[in-house]
Amino acid sequence: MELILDRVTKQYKNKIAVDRLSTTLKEGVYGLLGANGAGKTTLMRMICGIAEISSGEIRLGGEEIGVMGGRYRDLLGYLPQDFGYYPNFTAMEFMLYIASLKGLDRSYAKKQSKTLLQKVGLANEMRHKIKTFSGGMRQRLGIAQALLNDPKILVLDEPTAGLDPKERVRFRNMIAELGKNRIVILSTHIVSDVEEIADWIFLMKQGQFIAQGTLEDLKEHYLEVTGAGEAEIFNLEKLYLFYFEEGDEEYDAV
Amino acid sequence: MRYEWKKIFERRLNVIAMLLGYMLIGICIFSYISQERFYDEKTDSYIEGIEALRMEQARAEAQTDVITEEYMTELISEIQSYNMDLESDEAYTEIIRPLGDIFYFVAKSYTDMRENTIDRNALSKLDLANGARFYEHRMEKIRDYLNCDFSYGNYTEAEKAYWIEKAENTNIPFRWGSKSVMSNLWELVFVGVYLLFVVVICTSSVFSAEYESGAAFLLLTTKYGKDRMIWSKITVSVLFVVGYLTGGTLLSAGSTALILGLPGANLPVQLWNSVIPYNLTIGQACLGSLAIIMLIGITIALVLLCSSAGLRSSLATLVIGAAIIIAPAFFPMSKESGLWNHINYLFPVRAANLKEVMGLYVSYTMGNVIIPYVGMIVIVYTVISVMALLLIRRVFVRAR
Repeated sequence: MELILDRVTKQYKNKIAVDRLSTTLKEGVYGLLGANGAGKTTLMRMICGIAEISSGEIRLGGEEIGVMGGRYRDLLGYLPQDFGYYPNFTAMEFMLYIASLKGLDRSYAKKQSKTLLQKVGLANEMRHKIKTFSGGMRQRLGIAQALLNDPKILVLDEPTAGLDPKERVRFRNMIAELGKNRIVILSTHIVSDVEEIADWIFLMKQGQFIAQGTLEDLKEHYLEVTGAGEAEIFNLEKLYLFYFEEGDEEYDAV
Repeated sequence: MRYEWKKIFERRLNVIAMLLGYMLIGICIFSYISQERFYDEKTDSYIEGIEALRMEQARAEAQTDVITEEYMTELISEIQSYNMDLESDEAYTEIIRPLGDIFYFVAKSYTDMRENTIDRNALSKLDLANGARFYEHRMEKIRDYLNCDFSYGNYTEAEKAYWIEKAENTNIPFRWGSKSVMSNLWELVFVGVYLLFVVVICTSSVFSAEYESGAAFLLLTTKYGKDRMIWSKITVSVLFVVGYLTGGTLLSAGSTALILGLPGANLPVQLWNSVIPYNLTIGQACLGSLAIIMLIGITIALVLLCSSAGLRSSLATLVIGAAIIIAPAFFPMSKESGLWNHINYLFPVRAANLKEVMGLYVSYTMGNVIIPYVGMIVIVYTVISVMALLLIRRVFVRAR
């Protein structure tokens, strides 16, 4: 399965949010790193079919995703950034609601919801109303709903926001596992998340990929550009700072 | 669909609005019944409430079963025999109060259609040499009205012929009886116009709340997020309008029937206004009113769903909805523009008033086709509904 981005562009009046991005994604975990306004969320929304593409196209298995419509969305799992939950729904009701929109059979949806809520540590809270949940619990619920239809393409926008360190580690392991047989795209400000689990990393700035590759590729690139010796301890955070602190971009805490 | 119902019923504002709407009906039922008064000559006192309605019914039954020429001649002759100014207090005490409803019915029947108030003295001036000529006079009155010169435009010959034919085909003679209970019930059905505010409150957030919470981005990525979910929301909203308004009617009709029965439901609508050119009973007119209010409610709901999806703001949609209902009540009728008046008649607050609508002789001419007012209301609201229905999905999916 190949998800191809072919010169994908998003333009809002005079501002280009995503600028002619091209890449091919296969099974694995892809990390998107970039400062606020770099175009990460816009790109993810275009991949999910909820932001119109100004030019270029996104294809899955050779077919344009807009043409695929419901067939494409059937393969998709999406966790939006800061999305609203229904405060008066219980966790289980919320899962079943999303499951019904994903077209899952009710008995399967129930079983799958229980399994996933257990997986994200909400088994004991499945009958509780969402309004009683902490930010981290809501985030875990969001992750669980994204997995309901066993998606082949999983798009996670800031998935670890609000999670405590223990939850984050558990979540990273889960994503690494999921990436074995599907395309997982995750965007984050938290460099260590990407560093640990992403098979391929995209650095985004002003709507473009300014660097991409495996962690090893990026290390080589960093050493080459900065002229630092092999002896220097490299981590992705250094690379991130190297790219983003130099520019005029607003820099969010890493 | 069950989750869409849950969203409507779990929003506190919606629940409060729904309860307030039904409370309003309860207050109206109480107020209509308690305000009812009947003057009892035997005890020289007023009887109030349910008993007043029963007494009035008994009086109407004692007066006559059918409005015949003979009965009318006799009645008007009796009124004239007092030789009084019928606008005077003395005439009210001596003639009008004992006769009750039938006096106003007869006086209104002999009042010119252009008059806004009942000309009581029209009965004093009436020449009874050839009898009351009640039904003949009714047709003369309608013809006179249709042939009048109006500053905002006159009836075309085709319209005149259309309305005269309709008026001539009205079933005569009219049956007589007490219509008070059914008139109260009609008022309660008309309270449905105020229930439209509840419709506005409950439908204004259906789509916009998904944007306001950010959930729209998730919903639109699901398999059915761009089609079935949208249709579910629309279906639930329409069913809510129908269910809520039907509930309101059941509450008012049920309570009235339980307390008083529904006497007068089979009387002709001409007892409201003798010139009405439709062969309907008052009960049918009440059902018709409910149907029109429901159609208007569905149209408003669909328009607001469209606005909710496009504007992505519950508040802005709420304001638009309230304006659609309230603002036209303040639009004056024009003395110059017939076109404006014809448009003005179609706004919800006027269109919902079937009792008035039926006696207005308003028609819409399109080429050779004459569409009566009620027909035009149905056409306009259906067309708007269909347009809104077609737009909602497009607007919701595009507004992303």
